[in-house]
Amino acid sequence: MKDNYDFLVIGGGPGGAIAARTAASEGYSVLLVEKRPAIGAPVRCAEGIGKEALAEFIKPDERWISAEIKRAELVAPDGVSMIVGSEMAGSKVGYILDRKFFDRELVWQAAAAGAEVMVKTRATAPIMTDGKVKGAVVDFCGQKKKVHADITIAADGVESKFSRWCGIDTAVPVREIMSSAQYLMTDIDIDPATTVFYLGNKVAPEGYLWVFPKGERTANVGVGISGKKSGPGHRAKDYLGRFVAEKFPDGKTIECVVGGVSVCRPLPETVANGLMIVGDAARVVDPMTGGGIYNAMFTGNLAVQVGAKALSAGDPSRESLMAYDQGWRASPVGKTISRNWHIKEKFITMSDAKLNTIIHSARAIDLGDFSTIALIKEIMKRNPLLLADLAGLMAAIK
Amino acid sequence: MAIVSKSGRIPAISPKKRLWVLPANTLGMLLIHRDICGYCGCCVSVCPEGSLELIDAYLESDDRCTGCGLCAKVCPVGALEVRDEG
Repeated sequence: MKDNYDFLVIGGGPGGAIAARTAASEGYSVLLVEKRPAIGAPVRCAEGIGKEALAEFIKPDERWISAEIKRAELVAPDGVSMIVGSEMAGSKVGYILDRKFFDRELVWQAAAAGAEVMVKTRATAPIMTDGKVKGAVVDFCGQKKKVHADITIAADGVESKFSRWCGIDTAVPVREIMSSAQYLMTDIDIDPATTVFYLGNKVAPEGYLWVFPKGERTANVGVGISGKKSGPGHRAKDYLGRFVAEKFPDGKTIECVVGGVSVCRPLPETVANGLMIVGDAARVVDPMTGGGIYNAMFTGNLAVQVGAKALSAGDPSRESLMAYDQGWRASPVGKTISRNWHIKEKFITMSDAKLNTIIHSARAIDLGDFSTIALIKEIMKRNPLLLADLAGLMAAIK
Repeated sequence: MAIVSKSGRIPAISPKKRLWVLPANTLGMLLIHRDICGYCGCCVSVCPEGSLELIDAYLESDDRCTGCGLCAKVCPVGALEVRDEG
C-alpha cells in the first residue's frame, strides 16, 4: 500500500469494483478497500440482473450465474397470477447471479487491471483539507494509516458512512427503506426459469415477496417491506417465515440473508470536493424493483470516467466532478430511477383490491418486453378506469 | 441499570466500544442484541444522527444516539431495542 493514489475506492461491491477496474485499466493508480474479510460475502442481495445490462460490464460466465431467467410471474393478493416475458420474445431476459463469485470476479478483474486491493480494511475517517476530501484514514487489523487520494469514491453500500463523515446527509427515510429478509432454500418445487413476485399487504406491505431461482429446486426466497410497516411481530423475518411455512414447508434453508434496500430518491448531490458517491451509497437503487447491481456498476464506471478527466485537468473540485452527477441523472439509469420512484409512490397506495384488478386485467397479455415501463403502459391501456388514479403517473412516465 | 455520569452520558472506555448508549437527551437506551443481529446495515441507513456503524460483523452505536428507535423499527430481525432508563 502506498501513501498516495489517484483514486481511493471505499467498498468492494460491484460499484467499487467497476470503479477500480475502470481506473486501473485507464492507467490511474487506485486502491480499493473492503472492510469485510472476504469480497462477496455475506451476500445481501436477491441477485437478479437484466441480461443486457450485465453484458455492458462483463462477459457472462456460468461460474457466477446461478440461473437464466426467461419470464416473471406476478401474483396478485388473491393468488391470481400473470406472466411477463416469454420464449416468444426471442431472448432470455435475465440472470440470477451467484454474488459470492460474481463480486470476487469483478475485484479479480480490477486487480488484474492493476488496482491494489485490501480486504479487512475499513475507512474510519476522511482526510479533509480546506473543505476538500483528500483520502481516508484506513484501519487494517488495528493499524491505522493515512491514504491520500486525489479522488475518493464512496462505494460503501446501503450502510454508507463515508459521505456522511464528509458532511453529506445520506439518511434514508424510514418509509423508504425496504426492510428485507431472504432464505436460500433448496429442495423446493419451483420453475428454474421463472422469477415470481408476490404482491399484497398481507404478503409484503409496500414491497414484494420474491422467489428467484438459483437452479433446479433451489431459490432465493425473500421479502422486503417498508420500514414504516415494520415492527415487533411484523418484521420482514415474520412475513418470510409465514410464507415459507405455507408455501415451502419441506424446503431446507441453507443460507439466511437480511438487508436494507433504499427505494428513496437518490442523494440530491453525489459529488463534493474530491469525493464521488456511487451505487447504493448514492441511493441509486431502482425504487420499483429494488435492483441495484447494474446501477452501482454504471455509476462506478461513470464516476471514474469523469474523475479521470478532472484529474487530467488537475481539478478534482466539486464543480469539475459535477459532470458525473449530471451525467448519471441524464442517463437512462437516472431517468428510470426518477420515473420508477413516481410509479412506486403510486403503487404503495394501492389496496389489495386494486392490485387484484390490475393483475386480472393484464394476465392474458404476452408481454415480450420485460421492463417496468412496458408493463405499466400495458396495464393502463387495459384499465381505463385506473386512468383517473394514474393521471399524475402518466405524466411522470411519458 | 448502569452508572451514569452527571452529564447523563455513560463514562465508557471509548464511545466506539459500547454495547448500549445513554445520551443526554435520552428518550431511551439502545440495546443491540448481537446474537440476533444479521449485521446487514438496514438500521445504519435510517439513523438520523449517524450514530450507528456496521464495523464488520458487528454493529456499534456511539453517543450521538438519541434513542429515537427508528433503527429498532426497521430491523428485519428485531435485533435492536430501545429501553426506558431505569
